[in-house]
Amino acid sequence: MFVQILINGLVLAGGYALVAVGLTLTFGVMRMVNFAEGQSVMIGAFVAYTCVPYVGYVGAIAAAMAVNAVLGIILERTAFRPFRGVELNGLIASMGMSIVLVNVAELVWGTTPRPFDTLYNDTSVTIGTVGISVQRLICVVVSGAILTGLWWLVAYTSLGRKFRAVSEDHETASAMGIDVNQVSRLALVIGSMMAASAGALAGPVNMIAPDMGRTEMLNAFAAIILGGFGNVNGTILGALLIGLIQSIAAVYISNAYSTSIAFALLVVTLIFFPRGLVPERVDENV
Amino acid sequence: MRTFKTLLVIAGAAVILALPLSFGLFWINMVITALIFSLVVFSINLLTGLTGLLSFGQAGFVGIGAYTLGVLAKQGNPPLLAGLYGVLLAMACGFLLGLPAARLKGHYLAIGTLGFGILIYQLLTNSVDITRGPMGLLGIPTGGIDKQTWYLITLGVCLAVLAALAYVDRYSIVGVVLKMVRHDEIAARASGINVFAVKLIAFTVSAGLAGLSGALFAAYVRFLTPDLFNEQESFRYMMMAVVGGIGSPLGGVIASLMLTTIPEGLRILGEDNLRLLVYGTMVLFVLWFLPSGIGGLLERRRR
Repeated sequence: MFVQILINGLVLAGGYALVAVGLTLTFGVMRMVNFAEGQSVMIGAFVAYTCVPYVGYVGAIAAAMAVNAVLGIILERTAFRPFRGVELNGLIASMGMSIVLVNVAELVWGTTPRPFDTLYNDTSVTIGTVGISVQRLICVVVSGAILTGLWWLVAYTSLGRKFRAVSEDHETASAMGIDVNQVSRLALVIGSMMAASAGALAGPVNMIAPDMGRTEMLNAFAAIILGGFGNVNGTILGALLIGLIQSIAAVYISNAYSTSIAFALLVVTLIFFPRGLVPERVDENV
Repeated sequence: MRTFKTLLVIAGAAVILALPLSFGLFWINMVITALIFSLVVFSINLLTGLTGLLSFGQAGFVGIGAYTLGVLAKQGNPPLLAGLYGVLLAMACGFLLGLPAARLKGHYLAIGTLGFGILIYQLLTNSVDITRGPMGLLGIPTGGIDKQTWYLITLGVCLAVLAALAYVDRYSIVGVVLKMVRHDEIAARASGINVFAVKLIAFTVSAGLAGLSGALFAAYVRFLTPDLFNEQESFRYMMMAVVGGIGSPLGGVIASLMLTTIPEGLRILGEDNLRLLVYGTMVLFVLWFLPSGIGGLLERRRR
């Protein structure tokens, strides 16, 4: 039972973390919240679903990431660049894009939820006394690997340094010769690709449907707030907490309230830590 | 000459306002719903436009107002009293949400209020013995009023709120205080304004407005499901407010009329998805070309 809950929690947490880290990266670099991120997850899941019969599961994940990279560029052009400095409008624009994406997906794939079967759904391995499907293990391992990769990218590469410089101070970074537009675009592309991997990995565990982006995004938001906006490590921590608590709550309390539980936890946390568990540094000018 | 012009404007406005009375049922229905929605837009104008607080949980308050009226009226209470309870309960919830939320800022506030909205939505969905959950609350006993009367009622309420907001915004000390909190919290505090209390009041009143919209909606439509109050609806209200220009209630009415009637008019496209596709694109286009919304356009005309 314990192993089962732990693995389920980690599967959830992995998906949330991939989405949330993408969001947090975009937020850190552009100071804007991407309300269309959930739809990137959904598009990723559907592209992978469509490609699986032709190129296999690994190829499908790659295809989903490629499609979403393009989607990231489109999003940056339509919903982010025109609204730099006008946060609220950017927020609403990404909501507009989100409506557009959901409806395009519904036109292409229909509205009914469908199962996304891969080879690994039906095979399982036994750990202790319980059988765990290989798909779930893949979810945990691959999302862990991608997150580690991102952490390395942000901490040690020159692109990562640019990300951090721009999120620290937009104008100074620009004065030092960093192309802020290019860095923003890359942040969105990477965020979008991570969302695609989240969709392709977690899709087979649940059903996929054009409205799946909603819950994905809400849980990711909860993780981000817990961890502190713009903070990659804190966000991963937040995602772990939310995932584990939800999987425990699903067993011992009720499945129907799982999103509520995440958000109730969030509201309680915010009462005591108004800037999240790992606060971001904000200077208030007098 | 000037009085003549004023008279002309008033006459023109009266004609425009009376016009929907001659519409067919389909369109008058649309206009009434849009007017009811615009009350929520007003609540956002007050909260975000004047006081500078973001809320992505307005649909939760609408739901509280609507379901309170629905449930109480079905138990045999007079609808007006039930509606009053709805507004009061929404205000109480706004106050309670304000207690933690008034200390939050920016994105934390946005997501915190979003969480509140989801909480309310899930409560409405899951407490089946009170709200009947996803089965929907049917047959709320508020029938017997024809559409023309409904139009006049909703129009009256909207105009009253619009006037009150304009008064607060332009002429009252309250408006000055609210705007001061929005522009510079620290300066407001230094001038002896209790920022926390001001925010709390803004939350409470705005929740009351959203609750009023919900109560009117429940009484008019007489059928409720929780899906009418999920976070997507909160986003939609926010879109209406931004398309209308966040600080402009008049723009808000126009936006809510536009964003309600145009998608409905597009039903001729047949496919539901095409309709919503156009809706999303429309919002994007307004934001690209009218960054301060319809209100900004009106403002430019005036000058």
